Amino acid sequence: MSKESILAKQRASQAQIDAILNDASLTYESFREHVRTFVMLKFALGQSDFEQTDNLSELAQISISKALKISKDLVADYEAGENCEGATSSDVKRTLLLVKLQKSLSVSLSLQELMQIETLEDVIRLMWPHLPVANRPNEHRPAA
Amino acid sequence: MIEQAKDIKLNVLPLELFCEHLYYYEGPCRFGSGEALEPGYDKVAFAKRAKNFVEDIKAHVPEGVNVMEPVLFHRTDDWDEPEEQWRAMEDAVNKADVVVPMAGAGVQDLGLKFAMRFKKTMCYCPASGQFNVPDVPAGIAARHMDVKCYSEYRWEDFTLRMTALRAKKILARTKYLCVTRFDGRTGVSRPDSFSSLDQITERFGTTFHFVNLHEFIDCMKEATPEGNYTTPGRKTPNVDAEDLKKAEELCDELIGGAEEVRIERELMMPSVIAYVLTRKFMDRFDCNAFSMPCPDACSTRRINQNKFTMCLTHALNAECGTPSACEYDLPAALSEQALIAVSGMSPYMGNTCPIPMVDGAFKQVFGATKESLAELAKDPDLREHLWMTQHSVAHRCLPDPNEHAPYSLAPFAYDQKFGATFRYDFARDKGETITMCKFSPDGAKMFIGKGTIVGSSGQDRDNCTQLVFYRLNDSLAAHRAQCEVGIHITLVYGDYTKELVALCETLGVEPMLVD
Repeated sequence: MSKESILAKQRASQAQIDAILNDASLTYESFREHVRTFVMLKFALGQSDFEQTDNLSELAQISISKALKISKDLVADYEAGENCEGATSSDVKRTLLLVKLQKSLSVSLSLQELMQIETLEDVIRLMWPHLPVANRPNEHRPAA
Repeated sequence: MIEQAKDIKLNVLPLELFCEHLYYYEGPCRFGSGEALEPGYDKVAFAKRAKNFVEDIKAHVPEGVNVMEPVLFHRTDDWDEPEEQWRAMEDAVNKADVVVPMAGAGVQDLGLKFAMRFKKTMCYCPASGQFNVPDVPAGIAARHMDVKCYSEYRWEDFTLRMTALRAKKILARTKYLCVTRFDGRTGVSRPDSFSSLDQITERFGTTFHFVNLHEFIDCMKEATPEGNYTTPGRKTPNVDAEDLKKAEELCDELIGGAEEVRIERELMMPSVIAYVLTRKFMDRFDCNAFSMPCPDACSTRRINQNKFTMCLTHALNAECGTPSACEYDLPAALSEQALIAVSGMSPYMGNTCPIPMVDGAFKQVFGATKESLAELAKDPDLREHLWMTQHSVAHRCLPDPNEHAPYSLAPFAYDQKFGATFRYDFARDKGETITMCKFSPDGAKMFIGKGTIVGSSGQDRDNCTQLVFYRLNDSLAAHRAQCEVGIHITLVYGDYTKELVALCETLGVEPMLVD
């Protein structure tokens, strides 16, 4: 991937964050779309990848497999034991994504909330109540 | 309440230990790059790790283990140790039997501090940390604290450890109903019973409740206003109309399900009543194991007078997973409990011995017919390898604890034909592996054996002649080991030798493994 291409993806992903922060009438559905697009850009994934899985760790693995041009199934073997806490590259990628999302949206999920995250949909569901826009009277709330 | 082993759960508490870095920095204790060194990263990374940690534990615990909601200790690189966090986990720790901690950078000391504070059994698992955590167990061992800390780096060993710890808990929750005539420690026929019950309570936590034999037998009939002969005027747990109805129904069920019935119903009923009364006493005194001395009881002549034996009681207890041993063999009942705990199977027990070759034929042993021994002698592979276990407490659930195999009913007493016993054809299960087990009289050792069933005898006879023949590889070694534990050996179908060895290690008991 060229430097221009990376910068373009960064700008495009930041645009998703800006759209969330600047839309006073943001709905849960549009928030979901922006977050999904943000992740797609950050992980350099295509729409078809999201059709395979919604699991955040697996999406991170797919992202790494594309970057390394190896099978997704080989990613875990390739990176096992790279870190003294046992974290894999896909763990790190997943973690960095969540850190970025929280910082960009000024949201701080609790440890208990973070432990609930399995899928991208979990991320969206757990972050939404922390947004100022979600706390408007009669605002639509997702099912728990 | 009769607390069955299968209902006793091991409570496992995951302990999440988290150190959060508050600033950007790197050095000998911290490495990474970019955002991974920034505040906020640790929390997200730990959340995933902790979630996986608990899920891994849940995926690898054996049946009978309850994984509790995890507790968390969260510190920062200020090296703070909030007292309130330790206190907040006290209730959960008290309810736990075993604590499985996380390990890793910044929390190495917390494992040791936890052990010193709570003195709770701990076991690190493969998901605890990257380096298989030998440091905390070493620190604990060096301090000679009254706490055990294990560290298992393979899941199969962790699973085995949990099985062993659960079995240890089950032994500690075992409370005997001891129906005695003379000595509460041993019956006249069992010099190999526990040499000191206090020592056994101290070693395993197992307890004993005593009931006088004559008072027990008096309770086999309905109570009268004046009370029983041995306890005049006292209210006693005699069988009542409901118990007798239950005994009648059970008698019908046993007769109805048998392939052959060689005992008259009226001569069978007293043994069934003895079983119902035993369960009533066990329930009344919260016991979950049973034994009664046969010879001591026999010589009172009240067994003969009331036309019953306890064989059926031991068999029916064993069927439902309640340890129950003939001849006041208390180590045999505890050995049955160990087998039940690690296997979930229904045990058998009896006189056990090798059957040597004498003058080209197998030596005649009690219970074995000449025909069965002659048949077995045709197999040269059995010479110097043949063993038997013999008692009239075989039952319907030996191959499968949840299903009744075909059986017959026969009397114990040759002359008067009373005393109900099950007869089971062990030859149906030729080729099946069995695991044998027996605690030594001081509880310091455990005989563990593995054999293969080769035949049966006594299924078509009366009395205590029922037996199973099996093959052991090393007869002499097995006999030498048996001389440390006694004549009665307990057994279950299947190979549970490694589980028993793990239990021995957990109990601090010396395993004597033979095959």
